[in-house]
Amino acid sequence: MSGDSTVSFEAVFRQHFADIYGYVAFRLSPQVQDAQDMTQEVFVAGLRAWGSFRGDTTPLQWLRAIARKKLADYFERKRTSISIEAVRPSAEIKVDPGAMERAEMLSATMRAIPQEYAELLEEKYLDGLAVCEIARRRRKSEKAIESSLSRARVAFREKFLQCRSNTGDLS
Amino acid sequence: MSPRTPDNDKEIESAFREAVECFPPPDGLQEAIAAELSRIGAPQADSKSMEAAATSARPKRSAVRILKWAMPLAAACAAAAVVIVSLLPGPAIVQSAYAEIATAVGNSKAAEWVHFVSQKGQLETWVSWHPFRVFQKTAQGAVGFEDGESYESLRYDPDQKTIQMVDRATNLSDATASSGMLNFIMSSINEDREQGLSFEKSQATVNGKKCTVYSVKEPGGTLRKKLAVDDHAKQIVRYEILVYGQQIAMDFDYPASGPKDIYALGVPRDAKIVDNRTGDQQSRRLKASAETAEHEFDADFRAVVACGPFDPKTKTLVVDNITVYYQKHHQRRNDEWEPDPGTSTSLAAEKIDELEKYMAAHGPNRVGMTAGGGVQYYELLSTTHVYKGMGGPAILTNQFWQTYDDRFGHAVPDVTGPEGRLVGTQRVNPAVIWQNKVGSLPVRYTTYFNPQRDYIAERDEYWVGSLKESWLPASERDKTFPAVSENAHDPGKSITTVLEYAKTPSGHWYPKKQLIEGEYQGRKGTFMKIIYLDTKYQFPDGLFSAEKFEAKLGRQVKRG
Repeated sequence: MSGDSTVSFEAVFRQHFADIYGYVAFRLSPQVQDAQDMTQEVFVAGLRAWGSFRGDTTPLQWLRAIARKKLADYFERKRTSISIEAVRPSAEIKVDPGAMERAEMLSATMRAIPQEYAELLEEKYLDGLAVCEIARRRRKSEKAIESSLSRARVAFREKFLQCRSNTGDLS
Repeated sequence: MSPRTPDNDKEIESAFREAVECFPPPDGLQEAIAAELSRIGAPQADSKSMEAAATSARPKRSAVRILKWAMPLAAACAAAAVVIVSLLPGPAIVQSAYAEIATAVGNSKAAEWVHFVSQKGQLETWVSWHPFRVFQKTAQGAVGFEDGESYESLRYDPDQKTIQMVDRATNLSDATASSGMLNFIMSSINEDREQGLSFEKSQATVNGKKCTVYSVKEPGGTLRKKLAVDDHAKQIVRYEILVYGQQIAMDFDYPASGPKDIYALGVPRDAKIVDNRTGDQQSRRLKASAETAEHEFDADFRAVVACGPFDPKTKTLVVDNITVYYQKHHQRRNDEWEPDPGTSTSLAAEKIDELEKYMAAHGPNRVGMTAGGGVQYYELLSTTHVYKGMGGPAILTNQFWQTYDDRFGHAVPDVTGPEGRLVGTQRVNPAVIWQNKVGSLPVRYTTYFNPQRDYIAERDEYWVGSLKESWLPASERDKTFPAVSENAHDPGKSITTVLEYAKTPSGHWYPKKQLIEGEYQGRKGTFMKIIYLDTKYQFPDGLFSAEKFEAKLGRQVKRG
């Protein structure tokens, strides 16, 4: 599958728009106000690069990789630590408050751990890639990826607990 | 109620999925972006239907701002006479411009010192590589210094007139820290190339140097960024980009020498120094060495891990659990021995020979190995359980590596360790108490170093309610004791753990011994885990073959 054969970018856009917006907003939360611009940037970049899509990933994984790069650049530029208490999401977003709290804590955790770990965890748990696939993409051994993943999980858990204790909620 | 910590693969996966689902797109956003995509032009998209969608469902909320990449020339460049000498529209020429930029970035990274000014003069940075040093100074007079030799950082605060001396973060690799900005520029240019943007080349004098200026433009001709490369030295001189409506420009130069020290950057000689470093320089080196080893542990190995009650007087370990970890390339296997109660074997803690004899005489109770897309576990040599998609057998690093984060505290140069007086660091973390409940117990971390024999050990002591434990400050004891005693924290749990590291003959640091005084797996006493790591192990043929193992078991195997 490639960008000029079986799937049109429009179809990809329609199918994955909500996924990409949700992913971007989750990673930016609680400062979700930049999610709209960022989502547009992702699809504009995707549209321009669609011709080079080789089909060795799913379109969603491919778009998420673009989003990941945009987010990394964004955080690099901002260089500001986003406090998890800093900004609440807009009031009109109607979701389970508990789920939102969990999402924000997860987002804060992902910003707190090394970027390499965050990317690995996303590839594994969000993109659903197998270890061998991650290893192939990164041109590393599976053992090295497994090892990095295990450290990523430890860092993730520690920072999650830390974020949780920072909110004062230890129950 | 706080969110639960995702603990396993399924929970982490589910947490991510739920997090993404928490943020449905606002009404109208999809249509607005579809309209923008149609405006840009979609080579493969059905632009008519895009337009139709856009007109039939106009955004109900504010539309997304159209990306603005119009970049005014920065003041420094505006003064320069820009003469376009060639327009480079073709892919081959984009490729050559890209190669020239890559060379320039490489040359810049190879310089002895790099100095760059960013944020309109608000921040100056000097970087050298051999040895690795970074100085930074803000327009407000704040100064920072990172020293790769001593693993120390200095931070001068002009408001407080104090210099903070702290440990340098060892998880930040020199390469990342020093060349971060140049790497960022290169990755940004790389992205432009991947997007098929055009590169134009012109000549200009920038910061007094004759330069080739590479302009990256959008398909509509809007300028996205500029990069000026010194024609003579082939190094980056200036980088300009507009991000989120804000112009960022950086001017680079490459001095033969950098600041001698922070005082050369205007820090007053009489500034008060606050020393928050941990241990001595040798200790910091060891810490960095062990940490690096942990991150780079990538050897094939066999590890025999024995656990059980330990008698400190006779130095005897009563082994009631043995696990052998095999790891070769992507193949892994765990063999586990769990003797029946009352049949545990006693052995001297430092002798693996006895363990080997025991294992040879008794078959494992349970074997796990990767097979195909899943993991096969064989229990009691009779039943096969196949689990798919939940990872493989545990790897050693999952089980025993400790994290170094936040463990290092104040230096205690004469702590008493297992080998007598050693250098070390100590840190006390007070209890976390919320609504009269103990979130985490007070703990004292001590890390010992013996530079003479590359010895590292860590001791974690948890304060569990005894007023005799003097290491917890009185104020903390007064605060913690009522909460601990009223909240069913059983005194005697996990009092102390000691982890000792060792090096394999091939130079790998690994966690050799873990001594637990208190409670372990529901039992109280003193327990030990000891690891015999062999990175030169000769793996028998077929060790990782589930088929061969099943054939060996014969009819005993039943698919579970």
